Amino acid sequence: MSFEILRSDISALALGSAVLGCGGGGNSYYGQLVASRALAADSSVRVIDIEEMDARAFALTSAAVGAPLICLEKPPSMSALRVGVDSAKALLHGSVGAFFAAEIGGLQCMFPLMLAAETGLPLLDGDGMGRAFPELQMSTFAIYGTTPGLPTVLSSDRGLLFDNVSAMLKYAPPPADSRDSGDVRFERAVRKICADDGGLIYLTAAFDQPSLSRTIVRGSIHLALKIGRAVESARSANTDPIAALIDAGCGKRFIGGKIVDVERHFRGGHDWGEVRLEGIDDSRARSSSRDRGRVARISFKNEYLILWLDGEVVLTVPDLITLAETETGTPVSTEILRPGLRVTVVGLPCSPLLRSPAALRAVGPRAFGYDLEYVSIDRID
Amino acid sequence: MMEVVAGIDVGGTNTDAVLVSEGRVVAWAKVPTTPDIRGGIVDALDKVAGTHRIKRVHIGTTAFTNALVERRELAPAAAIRVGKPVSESLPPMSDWPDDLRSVARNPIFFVNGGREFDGRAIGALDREEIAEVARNVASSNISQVAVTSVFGTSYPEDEIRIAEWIREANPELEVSLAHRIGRFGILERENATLLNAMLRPLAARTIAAYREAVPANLLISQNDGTVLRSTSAAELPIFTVASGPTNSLRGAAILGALADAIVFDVGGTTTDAGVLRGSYPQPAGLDLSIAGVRTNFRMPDLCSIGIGGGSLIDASTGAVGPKSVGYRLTEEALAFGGSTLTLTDIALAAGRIEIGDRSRVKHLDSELITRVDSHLRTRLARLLENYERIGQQLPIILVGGGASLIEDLLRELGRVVMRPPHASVANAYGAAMAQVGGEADMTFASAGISRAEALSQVEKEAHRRAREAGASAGSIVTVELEEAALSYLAGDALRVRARAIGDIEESSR
Repeated sequence: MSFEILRSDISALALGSAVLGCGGGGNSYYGQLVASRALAADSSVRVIDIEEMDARAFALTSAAVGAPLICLEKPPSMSALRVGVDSAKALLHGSVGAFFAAEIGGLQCMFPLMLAAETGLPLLDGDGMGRAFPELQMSTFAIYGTTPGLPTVLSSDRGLLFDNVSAMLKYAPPPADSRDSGDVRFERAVRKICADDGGLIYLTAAFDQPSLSRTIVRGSIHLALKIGRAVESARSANTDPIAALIDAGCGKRFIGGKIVDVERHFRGGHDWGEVRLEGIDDSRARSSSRDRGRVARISFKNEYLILWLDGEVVLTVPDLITLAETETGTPVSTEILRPGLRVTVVGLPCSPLLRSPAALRAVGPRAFGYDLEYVSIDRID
Repeated sequence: MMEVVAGIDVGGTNTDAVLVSEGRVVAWAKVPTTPDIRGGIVDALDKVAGTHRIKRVHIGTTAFTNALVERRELAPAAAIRVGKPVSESLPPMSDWPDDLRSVARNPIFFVNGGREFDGRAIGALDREEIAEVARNVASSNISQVAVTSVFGTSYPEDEIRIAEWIREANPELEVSLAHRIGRFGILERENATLLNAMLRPLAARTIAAYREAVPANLLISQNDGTVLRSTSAAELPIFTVASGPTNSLRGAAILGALADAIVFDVGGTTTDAGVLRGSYPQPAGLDLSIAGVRTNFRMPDLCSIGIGGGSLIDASTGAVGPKSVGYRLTEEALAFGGSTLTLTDIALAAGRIEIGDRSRVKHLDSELITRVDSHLRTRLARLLENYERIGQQLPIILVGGGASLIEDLLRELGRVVMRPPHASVANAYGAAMAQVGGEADMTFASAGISRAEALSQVEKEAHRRAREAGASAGSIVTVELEEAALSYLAGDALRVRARAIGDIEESSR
């Protein structure tokens, strides 16, 4: 099931990725611009399923680690990405068959796209989250374990920072208390290097095809593209972009309204907070919504995590809670939340890979410090 | 003989002037805008001047916006990006429309320097490298330079140093510095700085012409509801772009004497709504694009609906607009002997206004008026809802020529409505009443500084810049203080932005 991505698809991919980013994952505007420069007008990137990749080849992922805000002063760096890829290749005993995104949400999917465009290699249709999460141990690769002993590289604009044939993601289920697994320790070490090196670095890691086909969230590039295209078409046809977003993502509308209050506090380098909104009746919503008088509360740690409607928990992480501007369907990231914005809250189902007991330990409400059970979008009301 | 301030709004159709003394309007005039702009300003001032002694003139102008939109009278400007090799993958003008990029023909230079978020140098500044760039620019007959440094809003020293070196190498070059113009977000800040550089020669000519046309000290309206000395405006013309809506909202706030209110500006084709919080327009969440180029300026949060005096009425459903006869109202509306049914005719038939010939709308039945009214009520209620919270009903200030068309309907919705005097020149009044302000936007690594210190440091810098802009020391207040964490870092690095405003010091020249 391969397909092509053209330069003209980049804006739709970015929009869809931002929807799947659940308010986190950084601003992809600069990423789109850099990717548009990497992808020549007359060429394309082939997107393939993991099963279409040579089983003996390796796939590389490149991801930015650091503060999304820093990307606004230090835009995505092709040279840092190249250094990462070249160093990983030098350590790898085998050939590189594809690039892939560690995280579909936000701007992370732009980096492997840039590298695929530059090298002519394909991009895998999948990622390690199906959304955005703040930490490395929250990816399906960490939750389900992959083959140890493959290269991991850190690079920045200054060049190579760290390379290692690491056992970063051990093939072992993480302990029940995953607070101190190898991945959590590695996450802390990477953050430290990152803070010491200007707050934005790139991590390149190699994966083998068999462990990827076991752990990757399949179809996420295709899904992001589908959502983005649906919203863009709705805009140009002057139809309801929120309805288009929901149809494309098999999601559900929870409430439309305006933001009345945003509370933030900063702890441990993360942006924690809560946003409150009050319902507005929307004449365009096909469900002819009657949201007036209803109140929603959403808590976030970089991403939106828990949704309360009139005081009751109606949806939690790992399912996707995303906010989009009611008028345009533009996703609203946690950084730009402010009173007065008119938004609709949409839920989307997460990948089944995130719903196992092991996954819920790593990415369920409790992993984020909420004493709540997972409330899924698929429960029967 | 009274001392007054003149406010002037140069619009597409009319140039309005008001004279204001201690907040009161003492005279006002509307004259047609002239192609050279200057003529209209002189006419409007002649009409109002009388025996008053005008001590300052504040002008809101669209001249620079129009130059950008129409791609004319723009000077080429060299883009100098400081922070090699950081940001090279995203060169200057990456997101400009092709036509503007080809009109501009701006050369690009990447040079050493710039900072990390924690203040460490990315690379060392190189004086010889800068001198070489200055020579290169001058030899291509370019007079404008825009300098943008990585993390320059937090650490402006590199840009300042580079500006000195450029002037040393070639005193003819005019330098625009990004940390004085834009905010966090390197590309948008650089975009605004480049547009500013490209406008400067035109701004110098235009403002010199305005200065000759006015009898007093000249200040120019900015997009944030404050004014800038004309000498600064000639150097920072980009700040004057899109000042119109802000002047209207500010004018309404002061004429209506309300700090928190919804403002409806009813024109011939649209009704623009905005909201006042603490006497200032609530800003929109999204950044402003000027002439197809993204900048990180903020605009008021405006909503427009297609309801105005010239709106067409669907006689069968009572639906209003969005099509309008616009400025042809006095030829095409029924009330003036035309054959088009407009909202003005409905308002006349309903006895809400006195205009044209009432006998021409006698045949409109009350059922149609009822249908139109219920349509309008629904749409106005929806527009209001956008701006309000449950249980809170803001008062409404009505300004603009079509205010009486919807005044009764808003009252029927149970709203507190006020139509202040001089509502038809609210925009020029807002220009006359403008204050001066300053803004600072900085990033801090947490290690060296507490959150409270960071906030106070940025606040102080904003106050200092307000003072520099001409605010009197005792009147300066902070109107915005925002912080954002640079998440994901082990240390909690902070970004803080502050805006301060104050009254214009009377001795300010």
